[in-house]
Amino acid sequence: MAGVTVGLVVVGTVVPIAAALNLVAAVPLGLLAHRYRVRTLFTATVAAALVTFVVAGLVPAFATLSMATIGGIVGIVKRRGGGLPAVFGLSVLAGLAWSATSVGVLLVFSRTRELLFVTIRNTSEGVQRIIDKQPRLHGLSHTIGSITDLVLHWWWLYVLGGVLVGMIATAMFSWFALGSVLDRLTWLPGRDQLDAPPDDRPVAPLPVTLTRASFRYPGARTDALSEIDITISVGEFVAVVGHNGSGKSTLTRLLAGRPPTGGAVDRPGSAGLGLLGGTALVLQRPESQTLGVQVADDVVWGLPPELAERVDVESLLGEVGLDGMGTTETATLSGGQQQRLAVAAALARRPALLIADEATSMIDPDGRRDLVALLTRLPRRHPMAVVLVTHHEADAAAADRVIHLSGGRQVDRLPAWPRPARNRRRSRMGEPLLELRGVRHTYNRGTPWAATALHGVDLTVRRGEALLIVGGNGSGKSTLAWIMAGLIAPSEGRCELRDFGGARPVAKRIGAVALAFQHSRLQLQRQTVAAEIEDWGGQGTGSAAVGKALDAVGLDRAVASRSIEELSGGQAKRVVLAAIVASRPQVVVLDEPLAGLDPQGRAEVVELLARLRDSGLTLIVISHDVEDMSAVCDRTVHLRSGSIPETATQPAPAPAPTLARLDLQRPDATGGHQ
Amino acid sequence: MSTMVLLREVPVPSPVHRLWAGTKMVAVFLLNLVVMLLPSWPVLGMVVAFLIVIGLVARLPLGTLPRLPWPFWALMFGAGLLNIPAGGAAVLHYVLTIMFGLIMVVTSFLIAWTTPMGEIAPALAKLGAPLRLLRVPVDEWAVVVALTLRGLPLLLDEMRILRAARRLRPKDGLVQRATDNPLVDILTAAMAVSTRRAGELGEAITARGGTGQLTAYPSSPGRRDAIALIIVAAICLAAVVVTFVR
Repeated sequence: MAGVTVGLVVVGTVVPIAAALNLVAAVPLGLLAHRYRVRTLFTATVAAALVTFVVAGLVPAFATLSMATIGGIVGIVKRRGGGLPAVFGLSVLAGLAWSATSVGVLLVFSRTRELLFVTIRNTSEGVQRIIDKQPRLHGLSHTIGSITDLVLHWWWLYVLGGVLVGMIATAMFSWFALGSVLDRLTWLPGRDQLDAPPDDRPVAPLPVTLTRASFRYPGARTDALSEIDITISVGEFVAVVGHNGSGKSTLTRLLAGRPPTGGAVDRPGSAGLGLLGGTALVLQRPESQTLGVQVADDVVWGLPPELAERVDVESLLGEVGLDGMGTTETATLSGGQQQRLAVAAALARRPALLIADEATSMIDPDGRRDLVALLTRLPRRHPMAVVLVTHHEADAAAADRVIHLSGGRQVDRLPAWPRPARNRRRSRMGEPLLELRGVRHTYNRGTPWAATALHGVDLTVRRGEALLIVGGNGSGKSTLAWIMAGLIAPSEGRCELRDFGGARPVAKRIGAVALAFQHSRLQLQRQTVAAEIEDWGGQGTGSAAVGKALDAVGLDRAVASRSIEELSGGQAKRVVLAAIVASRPQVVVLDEPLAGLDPQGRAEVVELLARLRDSGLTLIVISHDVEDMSAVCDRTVHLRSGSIPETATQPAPAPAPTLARLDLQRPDATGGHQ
Repeated sequence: MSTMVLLREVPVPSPVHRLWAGTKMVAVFLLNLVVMLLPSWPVLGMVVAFLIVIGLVARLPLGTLPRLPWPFWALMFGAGLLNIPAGGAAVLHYVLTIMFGLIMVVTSFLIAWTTPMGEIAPALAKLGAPLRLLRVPVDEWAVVVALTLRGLPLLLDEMRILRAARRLRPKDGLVQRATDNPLVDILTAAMAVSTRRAGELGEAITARGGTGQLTAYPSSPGRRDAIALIIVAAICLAAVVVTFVR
């Protein structure tokens, strides 16, 4: 079921946007047709057409349908191993069918047709009259007139031909585009790792006992988890602590109902994932596990209707600290709020076992504290057990019991990673390089959705300086990062970069200030690591430069030939840094460089930044990890609700009162993937 | 930089906002149909007047209207100038055509401006209920529509970041730009990102035990909706009468 949904969503989300670029619209549906059954394609097509209707109206909805035909043809031919001739033949057929339909539609809506044709004729006549003023061009004007008449007289023939040619061209393009898309996606995990075989025993997940339980993924050469012995009973709050790759997510999956490949998992009934009284999960990424459009919708999303009626949404929201926010749009919540909402959705199922799988890793310290406190309270208030899986040892402090995992085995304690030592700078700072004066920014100015993200920021960064800007969710930090990189021109004030030619606005020199987004994967757009770094380096970047850049970030040179999709999250982050090194910028802005990394990864990135700073690069780090980052930074400033009090030349104005709803709008929707 | 606001409700209370989502979709469909069947001055005038009234009743501020980039207006104005030598009637006809296009777009925007996106999918499921007798998987469609509407803002965000990441790269010479295909690159990256995202959504759905309820406050059509539909039907009827009975 989930597998099908997965495919549906891919296309459903992509098509309405892509429909604007008609040429590419068929590719997403082609991918779907290639991977899943025809029924999936059909469902996705219907959904895409309906959404297009809501977004843009009737005519684009029809365009979506025709693109789906092409996508289906290309995808299915590719799956069956057919070639270009097959695609050509089928697209001619589909083209004929759709062009006949278009002619039919124009026949039915004859008045609209007349309206358009008369306009075309008038415009053509106007052009002719203008041309006629030059007697020498009389022939040209006559030609235009006769062509117009010809086309309008035989309009159905031209519509037929035009649509046909368009469809065939789209099919050809999609064929090649889909080929390269599929090449890249071979590395993507396509399976739903939570999908467990059906278990028809009554739901009763607790107490659960793992006896020498091991797990090996299909096709893997080693066990992801070996010989685990634990018991979890009602009323317990258990923490599982381990670094990346220690097998903690695998343990989550065993607890959630996937059978082990070795040893035994005993529970009185079935795990009942997501069922009433069963097991509930809170996952890592806040925004992708929020399924409802409004907060209250998300709480009951997926429940059977008769059960949903009995859920007391308000009191659940009150329990997780979101009282009275039932009609708020989920997209406007902060990461921490979304995670607490996920807990409320889990509680709506009255679970016996609640597992939070790295639920704290993507949110800021305040959000993390609130979430852990909430999870700690639950076993005391409800007959249930809570398992918190994390790589922050600090999160586990409140737990009744802590299980440490390392390399897939249970250990007594984890090897301690030294906190990055305060690293003194060796080179001197230079003259002011980047200057922000009175920078204000309002998104969607003049519309009902206007949201002010920055209220006058003054900041001077010197050459070679490492500056830490501390800001929580919704402080406007992503907006500030985009402005400093020149991607957004601020609505007021200026942001200038000084060099030999004097000071010029950054927005006119995009690329001089490099920006590492929090979500590194979105920045990697080429097939392989080497191609990626070469692309950033610009012309003349050879394999030697690529090797050097990889050395600079401490990655093995062998990584260069790997596919982008093969990289782990930490590796992707380093590749972005390597690419930035290769592009030789003057200033680097890093947005949350430590998000989602385990202690080892953090220590390594901090050390790497110290090296970059010592090589003379100007660094601006925007983060909420004060403790780790301040080790490398010369100066720390705080960004609070859109201004920096330390450097402000004039007191920040009181924020103008707006509708409560608009205040909640997350202004840094631009890059904030907390 | 101009950002299009897509699929956001204008957060004001109004009678139009309180209508059932299905009513609004049917109304927009009917209006689109009438405009396409009978694009004449009286009909378009009537529809425009109706849309303005709706806008007032829904308390939509003027700023809600999307601001199109100036080249669009320039192009439109330029094409209008070309019609001047063909005579006054031609210009008027041109204006009618443009109005026709704008009406088609603005009517569908009205749904998004006055409806929380969460209500769309359940309304579609209810509208499609008769199809269930023909064993059409209406509920499955509704779930996918709901997820699509939920995923769209996330996707738009990611597209913005993809585009920004692209702009940050050095611009190459013409030769190199011709040999590689940025469109395919971006497309591939977008597909990879959405596949990952979809995988996560899939896991989230599994974690909730599959699909089911879509909204916390199910709404259904009431008397208000009947009145609204009668008004729309009256306008459609009036359009037909105006066109054929002279």
